[in-house]
Amino acid sequence: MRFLTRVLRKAGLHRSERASGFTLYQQMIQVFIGSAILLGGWAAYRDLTVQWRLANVERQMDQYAHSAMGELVNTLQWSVGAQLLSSGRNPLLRIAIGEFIGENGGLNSQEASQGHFPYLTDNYFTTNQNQAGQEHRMYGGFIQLTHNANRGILINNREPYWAGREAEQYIWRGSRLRDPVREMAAFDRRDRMTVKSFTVDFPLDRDPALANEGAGAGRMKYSVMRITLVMQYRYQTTDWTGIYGEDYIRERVYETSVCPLNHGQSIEDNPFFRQFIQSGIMG
Amino acid sequence: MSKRIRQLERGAADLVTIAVGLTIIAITVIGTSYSLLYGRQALVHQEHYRTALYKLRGFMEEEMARIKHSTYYQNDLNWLNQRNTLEAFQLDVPTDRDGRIRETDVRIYRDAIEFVDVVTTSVAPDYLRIVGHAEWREAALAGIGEQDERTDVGPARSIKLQATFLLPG
Repeated sequence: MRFLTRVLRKAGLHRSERASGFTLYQQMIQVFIGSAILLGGWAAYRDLTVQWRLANVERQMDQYAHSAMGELVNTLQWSVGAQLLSSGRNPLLRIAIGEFIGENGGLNSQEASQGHFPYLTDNYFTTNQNQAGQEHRMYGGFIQLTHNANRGILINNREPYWAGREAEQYIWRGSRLRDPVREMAAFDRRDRMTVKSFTVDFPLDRDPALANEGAGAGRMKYSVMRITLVMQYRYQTTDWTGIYGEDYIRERVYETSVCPLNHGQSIEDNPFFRQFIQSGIMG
Repeated sequence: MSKRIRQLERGAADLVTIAVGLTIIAITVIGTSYSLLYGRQALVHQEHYRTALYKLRGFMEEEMARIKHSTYYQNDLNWLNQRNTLEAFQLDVPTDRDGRIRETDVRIYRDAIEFVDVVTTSVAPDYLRIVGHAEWREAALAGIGEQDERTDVGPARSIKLQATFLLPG
């Protein structure tokens, strides 16, 4: 302290309590308070933005899964059958879409004049309708359902319209990077979601009643399809000064089952059933 | 105090000004934080609702398929007439919410299957009716909407779905 007094005296200051306007103690306290305010403000802002990003992506995942569940339920519900070309974590499902003429007021017709079925089919049933023994009263054909971890659910290898294809509503890991000058730059390359897994299985597979069904076991087993969608989002902060954690992982699991109304033996004259299952091509 | 320092301190913030300023800032900070937490909680509740909704409708589809496509269940009157409950299902996954596991168990069940017979028709029954329920209690985040402070459990939620269907053939 004596040394400090000597230094201050050399500078023309006789008392440390009153330097030019503010004392040394005041300066120290002010620096302390100021740094605490700046540090606290920065931490609050940083954490608030991280939480905002997390909440935003979680909302996106939820909204996407909600749309996907609704659309897949509709599509599978009105299908007349489906063929699982490959199973496991990345299933490829070939779904037969048919419309019985006049059914449901033509709402699920693919013909624009009669309805609004949104996907292109290969017109399988329509093109075969004049073959002997293949007569039927249906329109339609097949669509392909699969998924890509970085682009979401794909129908006919395209992102369907409800997945925000036109408006880039959802930001995927496979999406194009946003232009920070012309587009909203609040979200960067880390704010991207993925599909961790998308599975299709048959929940009645292990039903205890199957053993008593005899010949009808297959019909019962394949009467319900269960779709499970697991979506994940990971946010890794790049700075080392994370206060509340540096690696955030958010995951949502959505699951539902569909018992198609037009299931092979629920209706008469199901061409998918007749041509594929009954003929022994698949089943 | 020298004249020069008095000159410097003229018009500066005094204790009252600082206190008023701090109060305003505190109100702003509390309001913003509360909005953030409230919005976050509303979002989580919505996610839970949607997860439960799709799980419930899937369960009902499975039950309907059992009745429609299984002669075993069609003839099991005991099974048809009693409440059937799905095994416990969690609305959150372990990696959710920064690894903090908030166990939100949902109870999904259906009532007894109702055989609806319209007296003016010659068909009996005319159709079948299934009523499904999903019930759970939300966890209260950050004490908002908390109903029981000791258990940290928030408001009760429920979904009721109803479907009618015919037996094939």
